[in-house]
Amino acid sequence: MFAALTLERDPLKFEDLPAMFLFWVQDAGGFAAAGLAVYMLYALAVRRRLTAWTDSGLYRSIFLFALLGAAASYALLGVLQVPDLLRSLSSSAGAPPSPWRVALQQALPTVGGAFALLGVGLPFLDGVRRLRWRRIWALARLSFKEAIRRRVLWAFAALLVVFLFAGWFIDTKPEHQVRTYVSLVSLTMAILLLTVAAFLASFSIPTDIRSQTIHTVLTKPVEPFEVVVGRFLGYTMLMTLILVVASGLSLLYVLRGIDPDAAEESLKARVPLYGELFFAREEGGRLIRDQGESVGREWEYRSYIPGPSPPSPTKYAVWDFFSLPSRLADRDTVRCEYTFDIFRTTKGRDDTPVACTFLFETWRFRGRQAEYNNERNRLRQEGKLSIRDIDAQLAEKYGYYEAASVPIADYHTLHVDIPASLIRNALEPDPAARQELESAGQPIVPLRVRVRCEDRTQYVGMAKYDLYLRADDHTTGADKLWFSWNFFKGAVGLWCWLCLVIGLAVALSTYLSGVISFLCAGFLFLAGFFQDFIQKLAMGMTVGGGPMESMLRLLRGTNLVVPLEDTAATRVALGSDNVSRLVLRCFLYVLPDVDRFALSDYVAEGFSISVVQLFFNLLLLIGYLLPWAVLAYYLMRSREIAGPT
Amino acid sequence: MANPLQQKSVQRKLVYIVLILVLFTTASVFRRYGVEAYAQELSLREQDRADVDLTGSAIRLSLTGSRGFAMCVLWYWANQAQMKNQWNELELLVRSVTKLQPHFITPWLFQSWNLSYNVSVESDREHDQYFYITRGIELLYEGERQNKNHPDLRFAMGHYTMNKVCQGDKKNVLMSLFNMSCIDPLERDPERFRKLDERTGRTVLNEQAFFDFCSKHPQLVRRLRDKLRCSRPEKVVDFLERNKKVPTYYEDPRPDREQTPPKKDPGQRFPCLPPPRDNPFDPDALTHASRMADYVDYIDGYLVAHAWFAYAQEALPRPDPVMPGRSQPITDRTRQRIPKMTTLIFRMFPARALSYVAERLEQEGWFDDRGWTIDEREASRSQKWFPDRDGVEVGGRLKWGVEFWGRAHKAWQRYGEDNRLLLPETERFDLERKAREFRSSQGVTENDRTRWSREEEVPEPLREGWLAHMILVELNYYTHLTNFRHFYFTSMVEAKPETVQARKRFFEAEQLRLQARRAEALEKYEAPDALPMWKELLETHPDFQKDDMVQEETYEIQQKYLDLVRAVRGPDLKRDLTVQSGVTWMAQAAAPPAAGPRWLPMLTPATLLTQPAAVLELGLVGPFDGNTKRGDPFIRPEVREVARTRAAANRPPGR
Repeated sequence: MFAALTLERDPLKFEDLPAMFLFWVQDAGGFAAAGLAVYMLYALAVRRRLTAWTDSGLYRSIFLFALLGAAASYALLGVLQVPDLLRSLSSSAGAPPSPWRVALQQALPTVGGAFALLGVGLPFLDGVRRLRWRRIWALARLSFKEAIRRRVLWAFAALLVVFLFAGWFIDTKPEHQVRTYVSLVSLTMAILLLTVAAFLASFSIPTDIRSQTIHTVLTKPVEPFEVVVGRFLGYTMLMTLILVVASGLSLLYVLRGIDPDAAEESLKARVPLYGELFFAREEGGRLIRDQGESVGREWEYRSYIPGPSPPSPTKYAVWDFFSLPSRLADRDTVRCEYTFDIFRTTKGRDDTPVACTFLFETWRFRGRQAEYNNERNRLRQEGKLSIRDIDAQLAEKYGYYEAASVPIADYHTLHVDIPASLIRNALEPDPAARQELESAGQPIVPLRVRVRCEDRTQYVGMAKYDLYLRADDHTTGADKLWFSWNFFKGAVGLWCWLCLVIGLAVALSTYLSGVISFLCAGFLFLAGFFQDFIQKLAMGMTVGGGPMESMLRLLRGTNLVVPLEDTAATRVALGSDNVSRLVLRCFLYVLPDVDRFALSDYVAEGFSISVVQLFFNLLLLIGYLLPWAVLAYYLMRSREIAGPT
Repeated sequence: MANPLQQKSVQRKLVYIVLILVLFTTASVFRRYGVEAYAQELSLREQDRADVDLTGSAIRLSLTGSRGFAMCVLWYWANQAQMKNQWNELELLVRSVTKLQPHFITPWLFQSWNLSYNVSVESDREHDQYFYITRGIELLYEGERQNKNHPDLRFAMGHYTMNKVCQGDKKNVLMSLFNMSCIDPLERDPERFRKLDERTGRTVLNEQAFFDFCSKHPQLVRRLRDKLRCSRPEKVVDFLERNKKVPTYYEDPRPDREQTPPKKDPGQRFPCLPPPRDNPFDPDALTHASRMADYVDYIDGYLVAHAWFAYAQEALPRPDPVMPGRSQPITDRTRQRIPKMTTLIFRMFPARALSYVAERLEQEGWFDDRGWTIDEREASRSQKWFPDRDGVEVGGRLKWGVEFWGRAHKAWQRYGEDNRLLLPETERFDLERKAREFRSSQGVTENDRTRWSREEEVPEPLREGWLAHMILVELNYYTHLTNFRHFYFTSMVEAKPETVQARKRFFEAEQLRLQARRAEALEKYEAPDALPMWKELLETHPDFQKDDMVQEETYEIQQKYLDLVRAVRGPDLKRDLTVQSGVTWMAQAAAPPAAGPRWLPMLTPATLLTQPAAVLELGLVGPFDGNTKRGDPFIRPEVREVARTRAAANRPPGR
């Protein structure tokens, strides 16, 4: 959908941090536990002490404690799973599990994961303690210079080709110009930078090993992991520099000759203030929560409200804004922007758009509709004030404003300017009203926006992020400037991808050859784009079943929805699909959440990227790369060439 | 002197050089006169198959063996983008898909259809809809240029243009936007129609500029006024303003905004038209070399479609000179193809498009060279657009009805003759005679296929009779399949000035009826050149009169007329009917009525007294309720029933 930010997943918030951390401990801890198990088997096989890696008694004790803790936690978890397993095998319902068992089942993976992480992390931290930034910096500079000497920068000449000739082939709708250009330069930069970065990072350490230059480096007092960190930092610095230059050039390309319609829609950096959406029907003057309707679209991102069809109650889409910045009250008007989808069930009149009515009410309005209407009519009849002034005055007094029968269009950003006096009313402390609402057990919603469709037989589709208040001041005239700044913020998303690819490639290249590292890093990164699909596949939610079932259906020419006959071949296919699902579930945890880092859509649609988003991007990046760094540390240590001097 | 080894080395090198030269020269000559000539004959070279697209070729080469994989990924992404309504991405992906498989026509057809039909209807604004319709057509145009001599692509160009612009739900808006695409952007610049009133300091209408625009583009302005409720000039200007950025035939205006901007390259402009050819199927069909100024006032999607349909015919094999509905064998496989559709139906579209043009003109009120009196409907001076130019007519450049129905009729005649659906009378009699003899000798009935499917299989003495029989069988089959007689006779009668005049009267009457000027409307119907003329036409053209659609239309005309009679003369009629019925009843009670048409039904005194409203309902007999002089009913009962059912279905609920 154009002109609206389509967010199929809610952006991350600080409230999500604890849950994120717990998931991370469980996931990374699971892999750490697997690593510990492998290490234990290895130690048993070569008859080596488990704590041979350190001479410190304290470290030994902590390590053994972590090992035992992890083993006990996972063993207990296994024991607790047995009844569930037996029940699934016997296919009997059985008694529901007791609450303490459920709580334990939820807590044990985290506890076990934490112990495993401690066990794996301890030697790693011990190794990190010995790292020296001076040596790392020297290695990073070396990597930087090597890359430049290899003339990799020539690859970026391809970017010039795009800047010079892309305009010949891209003939966009005028209002789509900015978003098309931004998409194009983002895609081009991503392909070029990521390919070069993956190439450099994958081949660096294997080339050092093959040409034996690594021996020269490691005979000096250099820790093996310093090579990994140095390479990672060197290439990241180089790619960051290129990214900054390329982004600057791309911005110039995007900004030249912008169509006014495109500038109006996308050449901005809106700071949206989102509300919580719910659907409701009005019965007896009260709003009763309800479902939005489905019009049968394949993509169920939006729900729809119909136009009035008495005697059915009127349906509303309602946005509740729970926090309003006080700076909004200092303006003349506050802009409310929206983009809805229109679904017509009849043709309607030619050249006549569908209309919606927007009702804005603060928590202090409390249904004084008749009083408001009477006063509004009186003031209009007096004729002393303009309609605008009357509305502003009444909005401050009552906390209510109505934009009636506003024509709407889909695939365009439209707006209603509401008087800022409404916000002032919402921000006014009113202890009596507050107490009244609290005693009635009603929530205090500073601002509520209700939208209803005014055309019979037509439907209007809405999603949470389709309507928002502009927290920035749209009248400053500095849209281009903010857009430019936002463009660079958008480049941070690409920078995260670069770090991800470089980190993956360097980590993999500590053990694999250059080509294999390149392919593996590329595969993991690209597979990250299809995480949703792989997840569906792993959970058995794809239409047509898993790979073997799909193949069987293809061979037999069976429809996707027809149940398969119960034959030996079917049972084998379904069984092997179950096994492949288990593998896929494990594989899912290795994949990076690539889409989370993508910020170019924000830039293309003209939405500001918040600092919080950038923070979470960095946090996710670190969370993903840290286990890989630990893996790289152990792999580097395990190689013959990499003994500390 | 070099030693023997060196000499041998030099000799060897010389031999190699000579060999290389000989082989190179031979290969060059062979390539030039052998391979290349053969490749050209078979249209194997890129430039023979299509306009060369260097970027596409470069991309395809760079993909080497992974083109199939890239296609699958792009197609999948395109589906995803479409599902999520990300149209700009979809467009880019679609173009990439077609670039990778330029000589496989299915992606062109599928994706252009997708844009013109599926994507366009997702937008609610007509302007946006129009944009995606044009994008689909432009994509198809690119496909057509990449795949020369492909009748299906050319046909689809015409079909999309006609179907999406002129036949959809929102045809009035879309046809208006189509007209705007053809007009010089400077000419329709809304700023031209506004000027500053120095007295009041407000922006007012520039009446002279607006009048000039109305004179040059009367069909567009009339549609906006009559169909899109632009009741004031300002609303027309607003419409032009809202839709200023339509895809167009011209380049963007220059900054000085004084000269007409040049036309875009044929590949970039909209509407897309076929290239000029040496020996075109229809010399009157539009090409991209035609002067837009000559037809800008009446161009529509049908006319452009006609150009493409005519162009599509040039890639077909010639029609069979003997057997109706069949084609001659393909003689040049690089330039001739059989279309996916039944060939005979495919061949009828140039004529069909011309019929559509004529129908559209008459539906919008363009009948003769009297044109359109802009303020004819407005009674008060304040409602008139040009109060100082009362009675001024615009758009009377041609006798629209006669001209375009005439062209359509010629096209149908040519179609009939070329495809042997229209046989000369003498030949037909001769064929019927021979066929009769054959049938009686072989014991087959009129539409039976015989046991022989090919002429060579038929014994020599029976061959002539068999051929005559088969020609008539095929003639009958294809005449029904194409509904040829309807199109042929309709266009023939519609092209007559009297028919055009009658239609004009009906149109005027309908306009008056819609304005509730019923008495004037009734007068129009009863004018000598309206209903009486129509009746005369039906009497004198039996093939036209017998056509179901003509009869349905006649029934509708009659119903509208009778409604007006009831509304205008109802009270008087009731009285007269009551008196006359009473008299008739008494007379009939005394002696039975003579046979023949009656204008008044037999009503009993009881009915007259108890159901006075029924008197009027039963009492009116329309001018087409009886029979023609030949004895056929003007409107057959079954046709009447169909028309009645349809009228009931179209009536708004509660009426």
